[in-house]
Amino acid sequence: MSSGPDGAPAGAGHVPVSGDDARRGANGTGPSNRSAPLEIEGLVAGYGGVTALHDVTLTAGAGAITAVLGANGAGKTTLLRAVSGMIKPRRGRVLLGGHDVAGRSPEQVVRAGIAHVPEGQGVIAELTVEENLRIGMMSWPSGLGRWRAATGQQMPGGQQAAGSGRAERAAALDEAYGRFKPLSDRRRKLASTLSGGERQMLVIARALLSRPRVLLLDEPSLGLAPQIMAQVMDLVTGLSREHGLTIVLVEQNAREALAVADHGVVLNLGRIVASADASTLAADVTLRHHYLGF
Amino acid sequence: MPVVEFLQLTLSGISFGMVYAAIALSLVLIWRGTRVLNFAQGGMAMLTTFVAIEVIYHTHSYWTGFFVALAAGLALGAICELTVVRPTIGKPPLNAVIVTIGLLILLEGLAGIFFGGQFRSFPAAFSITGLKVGRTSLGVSRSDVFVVAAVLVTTLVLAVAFKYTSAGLRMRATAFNAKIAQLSGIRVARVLTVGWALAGLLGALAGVLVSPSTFLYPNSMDVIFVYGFTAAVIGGLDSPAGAVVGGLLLGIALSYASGYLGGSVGSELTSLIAFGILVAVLMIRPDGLFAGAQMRRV
Amino acid sequence: MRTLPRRLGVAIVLAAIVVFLSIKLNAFRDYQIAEVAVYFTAVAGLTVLTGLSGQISLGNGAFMAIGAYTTALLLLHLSWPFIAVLVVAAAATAVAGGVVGIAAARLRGPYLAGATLMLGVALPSIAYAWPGVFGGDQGLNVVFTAPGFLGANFPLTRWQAWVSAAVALVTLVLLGNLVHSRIGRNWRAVRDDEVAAALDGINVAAARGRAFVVSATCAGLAGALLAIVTALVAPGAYTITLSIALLTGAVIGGLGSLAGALWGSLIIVLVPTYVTDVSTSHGLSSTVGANIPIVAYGVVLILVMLVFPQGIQGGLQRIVIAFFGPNQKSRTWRIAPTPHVTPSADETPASQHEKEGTS
Repeated sequence: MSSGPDGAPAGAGHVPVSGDDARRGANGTGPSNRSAPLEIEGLVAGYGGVTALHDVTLTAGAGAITAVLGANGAGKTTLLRAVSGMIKPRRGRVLLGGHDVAGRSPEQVVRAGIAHVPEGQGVIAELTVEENLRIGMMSWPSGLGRWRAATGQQMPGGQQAAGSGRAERAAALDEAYGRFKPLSDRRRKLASTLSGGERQMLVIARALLSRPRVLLLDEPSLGLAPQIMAQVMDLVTGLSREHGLTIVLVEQNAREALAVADHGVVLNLGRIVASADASTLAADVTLRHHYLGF
Repeated sequence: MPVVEFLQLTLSGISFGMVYAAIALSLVLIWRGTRVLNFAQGGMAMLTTFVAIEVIYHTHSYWTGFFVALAAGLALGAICELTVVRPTIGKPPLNAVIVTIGLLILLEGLAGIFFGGQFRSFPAAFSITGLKVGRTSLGVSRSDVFVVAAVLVTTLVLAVAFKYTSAGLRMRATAFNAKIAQLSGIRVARVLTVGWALAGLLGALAGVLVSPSTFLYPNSMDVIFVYGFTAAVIGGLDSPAGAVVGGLLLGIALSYASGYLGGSVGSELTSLIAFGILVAVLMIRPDGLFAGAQMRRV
Repeated sequence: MRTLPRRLGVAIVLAAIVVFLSIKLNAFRDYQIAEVAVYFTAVAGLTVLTGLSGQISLGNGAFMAIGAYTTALLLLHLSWPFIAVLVVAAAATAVAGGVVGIAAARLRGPYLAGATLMLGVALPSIAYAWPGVFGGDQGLNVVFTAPGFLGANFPLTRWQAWVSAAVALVTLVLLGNLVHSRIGRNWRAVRDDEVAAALDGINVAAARGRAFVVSATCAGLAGALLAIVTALVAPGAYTITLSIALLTGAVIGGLGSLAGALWGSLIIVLVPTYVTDVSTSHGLSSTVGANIPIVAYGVVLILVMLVFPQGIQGGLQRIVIAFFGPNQKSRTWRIAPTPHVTPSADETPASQHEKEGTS
């Protein structure tokens, strides 16, 4: 991704009217409906006999970037997994736009509007770039769901009543290719041929194709060179600013995360030990030394 | 004439080989999607073939029975996955093996109860008289040609569907990385059921194609299953192409063995020869011939 | 049964039970005791191979056949005392196990399953191929009598039960020693993580081969016992069905556990007979009657696996923990974790969506 004059990746977020907005406009719902806060209340979750999260309560503000920080093993990844349904929480609620999705399966959670980009390799290496992207659209309503959407019936949870036919899918793909040029160049190539940064781009592009209202990012910069990491962070910022996406960003690299985030939450041993504006957290030297390593 | 004999043995081997390939494909399908070794595959095929014979008997139409068997295969596969295999997901891997073994025993017992234990003959789709070119017998019949064609066509249709349809993409995604697939909204449980249904279809196909040669009785598909499993292992359990190649290889080799070694020794030793081939392949490539062609990444 | 004294104690108690039962019960029950002992010997070896060293084998029936035919041939042609025959049968099978173990060293999971399955199918066919030596379809008769000092009226079935039980219990003690020794620890290390084990200095191939030798020897002993108990060695008794029954017994009982081998053997022997009794007593037609036990056995396998995912021993362990709490006492009942027949649980698509609800 080449950089524009203001440092933001060229081609990212500089689309005057996105396909999404146009569709929503046609259906009478405006872009502001997209933003929704993610409210987590009293979440308790773990693996087998071990509890990794103890009574976690936090709110990721609508359209804002909330950084979740802490040392290894603090429970950051567990938190995202409990929200997206990869693990079933033992107690607690996860509210998106008033609907509780706690305990639902990942397929249902993504349909409700929460997309999770897990840490590590998020691409399916044996499939092509385009196939990886198409997978992102598999949460769109089809069959009965599509009929319901077309007749204007309310969708449970978040998926807005946008079209999901072949034309819309093609348009969404084109939009993704427009935003992420390197993916467009390689659309028929296997995802295994992509570089680390390109894979991260692919993974985020795929998550965006599910038309989420909330994006959970688990260590998007892991294993990337600092330069690429910066581009990824710019991308994340753009998603929040231009598209009003609520973003929960888990990052080991707390300094980078706080630089882009609006709000920050620090986890230690499965409990929240601090929750404040990003700038406040960044300024708290004691806290930084104790929990964040810088 | 030696050439004619060679041709006959080869063509006959190809015909049987395609049946093994069909079983092997069904095993590969299930293995890739669920990492389960379906020991009941032969039993499921046997049961659907019994259903076919009953339908044929009552409607006097081979093709009705044929397609009913295929449909029954789809249904039986889905039912088995939903009832018996689904609970083993996430549990120790050998549990699923024992469950499918239990399923096999159960199905054979049920067949014995509902259809009786005696050997029944099963009609072939087409004439079984040998085809001739001029005055030379080719050693293969229209029926044999149909066997090969049916398996090939089914395999190709499935391969195309996998590659070019969105349902196929869902199945491939789930097989390669179910975690990502799920997070993207793919209903993986449904995908697995479809996988088992398709495997059931392939097994049913194998059953109706081979039963004219083996007669039909509750244990008639056991040997076919063993050879199909061997073919899948030879080809590599993650590779559909390997399943076909393995099936053909095994079918042809066994055909030569029983043909050339002749007499009782030849037929007694077919399993030993199959074992020899299997060991030979696995010593060179412990994960099958086509291993690594479809490696899963974590 | 962690320590040798405890194992010997268990063996002595079991021996006493066997003697008591064999005197109190009729000849058919003696035969069943012998059967259980035979299966236990084989299943114990298999459960060690699969549960502890992580290698699946669908061909241990073939090793039983080797033990059985060796026994039959020696008794037929050389009339050796049984104890000597037993030793030779064990040795012959051990060699076979070693050969298989070497070949199996590079094979994993379903590929090993496929290879051993084919072994189980192919080996017995040798008996058909050389009927002159092996008696072909009819097999070889085995003559085995109770020793003179027991008196002329001592029932043969009781003696068979005693001999079988004795061999089974010796196997139990010796396997127990192995399981808790360094060799056993090496097996578990290899099962859990081959790379780490190799880095620890364990010779992985040797450990795996050793496990095959041990399990084959057990199967060979079991085959020898089966030969004298059924007085006949014919290929029809050593088909793939036998191999599958052994694996089934090992998993149902609780993989990796010697107690589990006992539960599994009991199920293999008792369930089919029990169900046959029930169905014949209800006077069902012969076709249906013959198949009901089959259906029931299949159902039992499925249900036990679904209800007790860790096998019967695992289920018992859960009950013990429920009563005594997760403390030291219940730890002695703990069975080994199940082997990675397939890629580790985290990698399988199956377990990756274990938390998915309905879709």
